[in-house]
Amino acid sequence: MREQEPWYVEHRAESWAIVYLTRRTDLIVTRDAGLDLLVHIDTGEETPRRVFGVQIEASARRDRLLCKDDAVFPDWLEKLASRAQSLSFPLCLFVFIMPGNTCDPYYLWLKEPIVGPEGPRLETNIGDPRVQPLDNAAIGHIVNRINDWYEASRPSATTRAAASANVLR
Amino acid sequence: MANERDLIGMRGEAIITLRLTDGESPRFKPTFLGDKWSTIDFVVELDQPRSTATVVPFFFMSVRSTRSGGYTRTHGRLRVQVKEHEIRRLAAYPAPTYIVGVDEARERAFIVSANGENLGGLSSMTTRYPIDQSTREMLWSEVTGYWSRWHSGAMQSQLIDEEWR
Repeated sequence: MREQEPWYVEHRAESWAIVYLTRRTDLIVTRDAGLDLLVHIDTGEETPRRVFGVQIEASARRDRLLCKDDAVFPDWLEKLASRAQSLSFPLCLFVFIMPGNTCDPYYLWLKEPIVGPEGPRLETNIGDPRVQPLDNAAIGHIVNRINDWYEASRPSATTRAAASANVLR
Repeated sequence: MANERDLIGMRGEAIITLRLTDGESPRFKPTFLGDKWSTIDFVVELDQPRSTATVVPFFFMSVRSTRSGGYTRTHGRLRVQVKEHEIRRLAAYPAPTYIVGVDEARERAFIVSANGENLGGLSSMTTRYPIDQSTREMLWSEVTGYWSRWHSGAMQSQLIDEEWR
């Protein structure tokens, strides 16, 4: 069992996650019963249909969450990813390392949206534990990947992708 | 465009939590009350060593956020509004109570006393007290000072458990 973190770590981590996400005006953030945060992307439709989840982990000590080469511990990744298996939308892990007064944020896909030659798919991350720095540009990258996946997943787009794949075969 | 009200609520709440818990050893424990309490948005407990605390100091905050309101031209006051009846209600609470204005664009928060010094409505608030280390020290000092003068003997309840040992 992990040693207990100072009381403020969890509060600050969630607040940092919300602040990062809400710097964008097209993201509607809510707390969720199953995930830490549920984020809707506002595309101008009356009911936002594009959604992704954010799971938050934080520690005052780097070595409790990350091993060398800025990677999460493989067994921990396996555990987190297995919880994501049943999800039908993208899921990101935000990791906050907060020694003293500083905050080093990172992210990792747990359920990654991918658009490939055969169309869109969601891939559970079971093999790549490396985290990337989280900043405003990274949030933009995350949202773009998710938007691309939703675009490619629209019925007409999916039909076109399947037809194209048949032609290639 | 995302729902402005929802956006400001969570963002403002998160900014305040960060500003109050900045520093090497955060001593303020804010809890957001949301819609549960119409006038008060946060209750903030002061974190003291359990061995020495005979009373748990706390204070209330009422929050106003602005994403686009900006500042007044003449004195750089934050453009947030609090109506007179809300000011009077805040002053009526027998615990330290403050108004916090949040500039969401710059992720800053400012605090001012709502303990009855002024009872008129606010159309803008001073930015003299940003929630930084210096203001946190002042806040800690005045809230602990208030509660140090409080005594538990004032409360005598009839709802006693006679078998409680």
